[in-house]
Amino acid sequence: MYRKIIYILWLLLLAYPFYLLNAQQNQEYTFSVISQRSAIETAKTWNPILNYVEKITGIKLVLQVAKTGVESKEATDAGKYDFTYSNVIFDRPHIIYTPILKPNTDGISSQIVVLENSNIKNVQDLNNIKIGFPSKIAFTGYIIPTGYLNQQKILFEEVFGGNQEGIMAQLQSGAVQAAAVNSGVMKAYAQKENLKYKVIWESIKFPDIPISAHERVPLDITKSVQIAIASMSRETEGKEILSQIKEDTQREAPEFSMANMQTYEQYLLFYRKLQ
Amino acid sequence: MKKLQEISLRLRIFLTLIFSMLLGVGLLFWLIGSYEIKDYKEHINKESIIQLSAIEASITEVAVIGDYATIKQILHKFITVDQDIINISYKKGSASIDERNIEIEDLYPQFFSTLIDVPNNITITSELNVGGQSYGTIILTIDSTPMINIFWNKTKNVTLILFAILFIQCAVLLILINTSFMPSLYAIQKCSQDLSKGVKVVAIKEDVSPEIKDVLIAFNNMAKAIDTQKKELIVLNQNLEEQVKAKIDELRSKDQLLIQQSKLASMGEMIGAIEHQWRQPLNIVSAIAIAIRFDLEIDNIKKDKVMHNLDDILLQINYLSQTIDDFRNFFRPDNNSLKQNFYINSAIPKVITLSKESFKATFINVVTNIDDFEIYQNENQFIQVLINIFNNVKDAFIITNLPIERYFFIDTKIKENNLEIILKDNAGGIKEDIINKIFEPYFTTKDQSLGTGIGLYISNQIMQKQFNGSIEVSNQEFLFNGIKYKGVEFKLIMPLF
Repeated sequence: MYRKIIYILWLLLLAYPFYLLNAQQNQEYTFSVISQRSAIETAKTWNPILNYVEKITGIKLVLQVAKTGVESKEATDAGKYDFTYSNVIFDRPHIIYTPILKPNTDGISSQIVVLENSNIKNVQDLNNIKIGFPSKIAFTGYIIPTGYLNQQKILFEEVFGGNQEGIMAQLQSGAVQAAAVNSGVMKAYAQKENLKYKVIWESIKFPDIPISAHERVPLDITKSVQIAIASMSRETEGKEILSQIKEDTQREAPEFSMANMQTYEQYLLFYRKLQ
Repeated sequence: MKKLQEISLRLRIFLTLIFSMLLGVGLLFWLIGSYEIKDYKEHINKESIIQLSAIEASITEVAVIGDYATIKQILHKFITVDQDIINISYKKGSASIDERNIEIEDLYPQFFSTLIDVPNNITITSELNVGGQSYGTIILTIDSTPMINIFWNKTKNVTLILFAILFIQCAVLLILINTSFMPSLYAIQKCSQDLSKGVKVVAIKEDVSPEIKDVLIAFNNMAKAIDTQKKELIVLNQNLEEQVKAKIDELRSKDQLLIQQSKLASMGEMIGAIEHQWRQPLNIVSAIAIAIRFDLEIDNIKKDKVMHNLDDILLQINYLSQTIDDFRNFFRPDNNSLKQNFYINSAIPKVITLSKESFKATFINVVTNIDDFEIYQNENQFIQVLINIFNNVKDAFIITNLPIERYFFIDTKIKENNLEIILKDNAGGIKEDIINKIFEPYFTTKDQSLGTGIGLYISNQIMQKQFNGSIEVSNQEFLFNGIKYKGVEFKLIMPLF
């Protein structure tokens, strides 16, 4: 009798690694994208990329888009997402997300922009006007520019647009006279909408928003996702998907290279200074 | 229930118009419905797709975010704003949101939706797909009732207007028929009745229409023409009667002549027969006279011998006398219309006796097989029929002159209450192309010295008109004493009673 029980337990023990492997393969990982544009635009950009990753690696990534930047930041701070495309992960003592991929861009900067025909010509002209921001948690859209404006002792009224493109739309409609934006998002938006604008102030460049993995995600999963996305722009099928994204969204599709925490050292330094 | 013909014309026209009107309205209703329904279906489909697209556009953003509370709010807003939407459902995995509206009252009759073949609810679904990822399915159910209500009202109104137009048209038509057509028709009817009663010219009222006036004038002309033709017909009838009478008289005269000719012919035949009958006894008498004279010249007269010779002469004279009696009975005029009972077995031998010598001279053997039947007819006419056939047979043998033993068969039998007398020879028969003409008057194939062409005609007439019977003639092939012969068969058929 005992021998039988031991035999069954031994069999279960043998089967357990296979069960774990299978469970890992079937597990879904959440992939959050910071709120820069509308959810539809975000889904149009990211779902094809995540579907590609699943096809190449077998790892299912489920896109998560928060209603607002604040919600997104709260969820990120709470570590709800397995992967995240966000630059609001560095402002805490214990960083739980590690950057694994960096966009192939020259970097991003914070800009304060006005319409091309605006009377505002310099930072001083921003006094006592409505300035639009994506949200209070936006790194290039709020944290950097408000820091600068406060330093310059400029008085202004804050207006929030929910996300980058939201506030850009308010600027375009005249709801706000100036907007603090991500330079890369602004450029893309202006191209799409044929919007003429001028830059009143621009910060130094920071590395563009990274894709990061939560520390709980197994390393092999993280590596597989990292390699699949980094090599996407070099693979035929990947190139076709990126080309299709560009056609559907009328913007350049994001392409990534391998990265790590050191790649984003500049952010860490910035927050240390801020503290 | 009255038959259709018994219903008055006015009522029939009225019923026809009502029926046509209802049929027309029904047809129009159906045509309008069928024509409009295409646009309607297209419209409702378009509306549904527009609604669905609007819902899609409104909830895609929040569906991507996964904010089901907002989705529910949006769907509820759609339900509230658009009364045509019965139900909107959003389903994604286990999540399901269902917003329902109250159903709208239908104002159209049930048959209408069946007629236009539109369901009361139209359900369409759409999957929310963004960047190749499904964010759930929207199921939209739209109530067709408001649209069908509108469509029903439109169709009903148009049909009612058309019905009103048709009704007015029918009413106008009925009034026209009643005031114009019907009086004219009655005028024609009265005219016809007048004409049928013998009125020669009908009065034409001034208030009738020109067309009807023309018809009435034509009726009058027709009546005049009929009257004229009637008079001509009366005259023609009178003349015709006279002509028919004259023709009948002529035919009677001809018949009398034929009968007379027949009698004369028969008489000639009989005289020939008497000649044959008398020749032998006369020769005997002549020979006895010569013998007596020779005995007187040589004075060898013996009383016994003279007495014997005289007895012989008396015997021959008796025979001659009997012959005269025989023929006298046949030719007596008052015997020709006298019907009496007589036996076949006695009548046929009389004819054989009458023809005996002539048959003997032409080497004809008579073979008889006669049963004894009593019939009630004119015996002399019966004998005349037979004599004509006998003579015809004799002449046939003379004409064909076949080098064979000559036979003439006489048989009698009863068949279906008819007496059949079958007279058959072996003289070779009659050509088939003329066999049906032998009973026609003046038809003969014989030399003028032999035939007149009326014997068989008279025999046929007597059989048909006097005896209610008939004569059939046909060619026959038969065996007699082991030898095959061909000849003519006359079959006399007459009723026994």
